[in-house]
Amino acid sequence: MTNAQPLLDVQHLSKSFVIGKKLLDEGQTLRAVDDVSFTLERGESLGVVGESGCGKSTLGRTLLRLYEPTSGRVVLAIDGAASDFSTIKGEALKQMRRKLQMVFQDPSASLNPRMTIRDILREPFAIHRHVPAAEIEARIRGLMAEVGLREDALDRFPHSFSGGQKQRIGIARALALEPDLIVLDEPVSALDVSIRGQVLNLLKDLQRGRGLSYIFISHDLAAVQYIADRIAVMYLGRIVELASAQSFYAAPRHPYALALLSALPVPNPKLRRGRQPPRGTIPSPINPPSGCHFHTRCPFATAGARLHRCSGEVPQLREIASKHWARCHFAEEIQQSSLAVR
Amino acid sequence: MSVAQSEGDVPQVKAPARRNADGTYWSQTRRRFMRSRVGVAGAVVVLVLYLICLILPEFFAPYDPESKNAQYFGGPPQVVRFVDDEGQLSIQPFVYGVARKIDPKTMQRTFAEDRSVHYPIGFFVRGDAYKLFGFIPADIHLFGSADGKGHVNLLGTDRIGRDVLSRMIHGGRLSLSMGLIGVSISLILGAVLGTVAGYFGGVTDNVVMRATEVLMAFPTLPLWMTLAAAVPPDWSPTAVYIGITAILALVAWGTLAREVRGKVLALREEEYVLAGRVMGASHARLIFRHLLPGCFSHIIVVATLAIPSMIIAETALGFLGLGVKPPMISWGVMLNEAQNIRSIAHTPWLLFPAIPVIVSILAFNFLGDGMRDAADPQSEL
Amino acid sequence: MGTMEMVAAADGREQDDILLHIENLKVGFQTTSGFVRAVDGVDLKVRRGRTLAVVGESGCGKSITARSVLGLLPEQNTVMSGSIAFKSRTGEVLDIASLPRRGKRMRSIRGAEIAMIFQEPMTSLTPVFTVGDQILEALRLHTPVRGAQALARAIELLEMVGIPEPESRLKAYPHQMSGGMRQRVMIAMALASNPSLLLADEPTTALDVTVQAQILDLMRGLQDELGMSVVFITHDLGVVAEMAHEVAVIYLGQVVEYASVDDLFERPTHPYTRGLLNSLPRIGATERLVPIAGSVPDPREHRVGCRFADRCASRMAKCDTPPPLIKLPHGQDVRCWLHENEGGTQS
Repeated sequence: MTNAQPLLDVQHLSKSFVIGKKLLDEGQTLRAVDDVSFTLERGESLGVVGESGCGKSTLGRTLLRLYEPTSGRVVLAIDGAASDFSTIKGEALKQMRRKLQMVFQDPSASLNPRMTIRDILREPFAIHRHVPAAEIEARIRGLMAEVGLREDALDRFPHSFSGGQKQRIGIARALALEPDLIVLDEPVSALDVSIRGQVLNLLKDLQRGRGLSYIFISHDLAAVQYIADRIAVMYLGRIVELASAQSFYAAPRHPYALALLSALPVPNPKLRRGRQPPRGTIPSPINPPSGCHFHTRCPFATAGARLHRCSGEVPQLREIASKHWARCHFAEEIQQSSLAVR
Repeated sequence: MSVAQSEGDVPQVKAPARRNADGTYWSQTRRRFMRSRVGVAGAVVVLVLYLICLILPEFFAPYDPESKNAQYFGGPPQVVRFVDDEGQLSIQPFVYGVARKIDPKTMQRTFAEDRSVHYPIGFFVRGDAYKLFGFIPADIHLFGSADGKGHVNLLGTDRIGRDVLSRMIHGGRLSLSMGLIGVSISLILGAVLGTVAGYFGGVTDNVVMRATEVLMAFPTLPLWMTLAAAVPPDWSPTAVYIGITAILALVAWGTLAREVRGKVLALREEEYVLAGRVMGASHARLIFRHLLPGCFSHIIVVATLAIPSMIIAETALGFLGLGVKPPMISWGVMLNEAQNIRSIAHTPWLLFPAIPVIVSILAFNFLGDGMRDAADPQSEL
Repeated sequence: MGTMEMVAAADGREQDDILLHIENLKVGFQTTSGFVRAVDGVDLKVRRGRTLAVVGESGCGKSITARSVLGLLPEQNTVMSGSIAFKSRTGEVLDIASLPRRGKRMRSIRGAEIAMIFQEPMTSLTPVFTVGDQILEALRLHTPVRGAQALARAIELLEMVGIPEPESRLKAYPHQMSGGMRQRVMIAMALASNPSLLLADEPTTALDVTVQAQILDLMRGLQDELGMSVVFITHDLGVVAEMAHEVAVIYLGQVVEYASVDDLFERPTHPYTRGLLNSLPRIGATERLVPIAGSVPDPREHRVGCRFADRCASRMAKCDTPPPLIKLPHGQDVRCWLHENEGGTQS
């Protein structure tokens, strides 16, 4: 597959928002997604991790044209033909949307409270008419079975379901259009601990069964590891590390990724450790630090020439090891293998 | 390809009763509303008012609003009695007759009860003929003089002997319907413009919002007066009615549009609306399937709360003589007749139409508040 | 010394050691759609200088338990029974559950001897006053410190919770601070009166991972320094492992397992605890998750027998009878019939 075209090829995608623009006020520019590039193969899943304000949700929404990208291209290879999803319009856009679907964070908010489950699942068929009317009901029942819900749930309203069940309905709706790629925006964050595992398993099974590609957006590094083949870590709009999951979890190469991993509480009291969480909090994305955005909190950007370089020069996303990219001037120095112990 | 989920949280046979599981959104809303006593009281009063004034005023009013009692003009309210001077109880209520006296010095007319004459009050009596719903000839009134010989003017009569109560009931038809129709017009304007502004945003939003701001920056009373004064005096009463209603609606839509826009703006970012966009739903589908139903309860509440200001506006215009004009009757027109000190001093009962104005406004506000609480799912617990 | 005496001595020491003892706490709410048994017979012991983690999923009653300790439950439509024995500074043991909620005694305990921090600090801080005003207010309410001394104490408190440049931060408004900083301010306010017990209700749930790590570090450091007891309410087993000495696992208003943190993670015994641990994806582990079936039921549904039974893989006929909390020999309590015969004593 490697020589074939990837399913998704994101090139220099940026999305800026203008904040506080009023009649006589220019406002400020917030670069929520800043020059993001990556590719995604068919059947592959990319985990996008980061903390609040890192732009991971904006990235997902910009990919799906819920926000219009400020610049960059999103090239989709569907049926052997590549087209730039970020610029198409009208009917072509509508047709292409079938291939890209989304599952949202809040299962309660993502289902219209005034529609029955049947109406909710019927809607994708009503929009695209890709299935003969006589078959729709059977398809809906098939989808319900596929996500592990019983058919007698179809005539009820969303509020009579638990969070996990609602999320299953949201997944069924996304599947109705037979997409190639699903963007999962924090799909388990709002769920109870005992339910998260169920939904993660379901997502995994669906991916295998249908050959889906996922972009799994989450702040939970453990959940991401369970789903994703590759990991992209974002900090203040930029991808700071991009690697295969195996390589990433074995040896993260960016100080921020390292900090994220070491900050994660591990359910094992034996591994309580003297950690060094990064200093301070995430700076405002409206006015991010110069140079490397992370230099204000980075334990490696200590002083002198080093700090000078980190604050003055924007590091490039460099391939540090095979298929392992990091955006750090000193990535070669960062070796952390102790994480594998967990 | 079906993924059998051994651990799937399949709903149990007995549907798990989640928060407020039973019933639809609307039945829940109704249940919440029924719990608000004030709201229900408001609703009952509003319904009764509309039944009396809008649907069956001819039946509830004892007289035709234009029929004059030549014997009893400017007469005070008659008191309903069950016990007469001799202490005799009568099952049938009655009023005493009246005797006119003229003060020899001031030439002032006064009326006194003539206790020798009983006018029994009957129910479902024959009286002035009218057309029910405008086409069924009838002459039955809820109550009136039982034998048709006497007269019953429970709220007195005006300067030319017309029954104040009957005129008040007929006047309500106009005052109340104007609120309803005016709000409907401004609701359509407001909902359409508000939805468009909120949904499309950008320039459209700016234009609509600046327009509402300009509209709301005008002081309302002078604006009404100017517009009402522009209604040609030679228009027929019906045309004037429509004209005034339209004016009221045109002044009021701005507030509604802003409310709807705010709600649409909030709903537009709801994940279920985003899900619709991701699926490629058309603007029409998003607006009519997802956004408007989401705003609907809110719109109804806002509209209900807007009706009182329409009623006030009509009354104010009528009072100033700028609204509808006689021979049309509205509460404002009736109050216009009670404008000068002389009539207040001698015939204070001409101020009675103020009471239904107050009652209807309070009732609408209670109803609207009750509905607002009911429409808000957070108000549970 | 005979064994009996040793046990008695240990018991005595333990009694001395217990700061808060909740016994058979029951809290119910009358709602428009039925009666909710939010807390149904919870027993908890908090020892001096230790952290008790109360862990459970949404609606299990863990927050309600904490709130009832402070008398913070709504008075209307609430039924509460049981005892909450708290050893106050004066040495006397008070039953908080029977104190008048608005009484003087309760006020002298709430915020002074027992303090609480919440999930979202923004809603617990007043937006219109500066951080300094609010800390000074806390000092005025609960301590005799006044004037310049109070100001110095406020600065000291902010320093203690790791806020840089405390003098200038005193003049800041809550909205000018990040979530982590606000949580630090909340902790500073809670510590103003040197409480002997801190109730922390999901204090890091709304925070980012790196900030959460900082706050957890801070809380551990402060506990070592000040020797206070902490009740840490959370749904996150990772946080439990980081913070707790003892753990109570709550399911539908009942403690289903009660153990030291090492025992709990080494020998999770109740099927629910085991299920929770098996539902967690872990870094470095690739095997398939084995989550608990079904979903957390509605607390309004009335259940006979074991409350976890219909999600439990090891369900048996006996589960229709409510299981008692069984004390296992190595000091773990578990509410499950599977361990009936291993049990030492039943409570």
